[in-house]
Amino acid sequence: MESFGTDDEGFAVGVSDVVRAVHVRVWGFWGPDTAGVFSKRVLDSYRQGYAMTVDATALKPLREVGESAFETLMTALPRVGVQRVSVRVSSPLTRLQLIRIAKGCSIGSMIQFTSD
Amino acid sequence: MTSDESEVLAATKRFYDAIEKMVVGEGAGPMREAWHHTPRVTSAHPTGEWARGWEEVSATWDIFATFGKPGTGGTEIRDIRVYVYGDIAYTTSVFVAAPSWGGAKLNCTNILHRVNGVWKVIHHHPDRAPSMEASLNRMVNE
Repeated sequence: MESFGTDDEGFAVGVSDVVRAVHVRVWGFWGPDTAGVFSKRVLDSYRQGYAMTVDATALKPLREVGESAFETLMTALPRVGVQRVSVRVSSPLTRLQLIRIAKGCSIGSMIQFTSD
Repeated sequence: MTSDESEVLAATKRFYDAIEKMVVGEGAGPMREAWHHTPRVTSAHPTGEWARGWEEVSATWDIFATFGKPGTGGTEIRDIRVYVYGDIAYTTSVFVAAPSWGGAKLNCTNILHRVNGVWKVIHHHPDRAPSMEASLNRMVNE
């Protein structure tokens, strides 16, 4: 996986052709540097017809800059052809935050949340 | 009650008034006012996570504030006890969540710091409340 950010906050993106999925891992409390490149890096890695998994088990509840990064990504997912996203999350507040963003982007039905 | 204890009690009540304001949809502004904004503040929440430093702490309160709605209030704060040690104080209390947020009764501890004569919260720790988490889950999925 290609990583961005630091040990404290960042994300990583990798592609598995075996299971035809883009895997995203996100962690920490994001500042503007990480948030600013997140959606483009993930979308650049996406391949048509692949599923997407997001491991958000180490993601903290985010401020506006982090919310905006996820909004940008979620808004773009249907446009690039993503049909299904699985999100694994540990923090209840992070889960509530991501669910609210997904609903606001009208993609709540294509995202499945699971708790770690 | 000494004047220091009265000031700490008032600052603690402002913190819980701020929760009620969030619940009824008035936003997180009063909660921001209740805290010192430094990297050396910490907060736990009934949903279980820790936030460390003002940036993280304020982010968590902002999320709670998104669930506020007019007419859904009804939080209560009971049995606040104040203990002052110079410019540091702590309070214990029993917080009752609004019925719309599950109505759980939580033991809480707050630590306050007096800076330039003003007492504000630097640490908050309530019991966990699965019923609150369940209520918020219902709200976000409505």
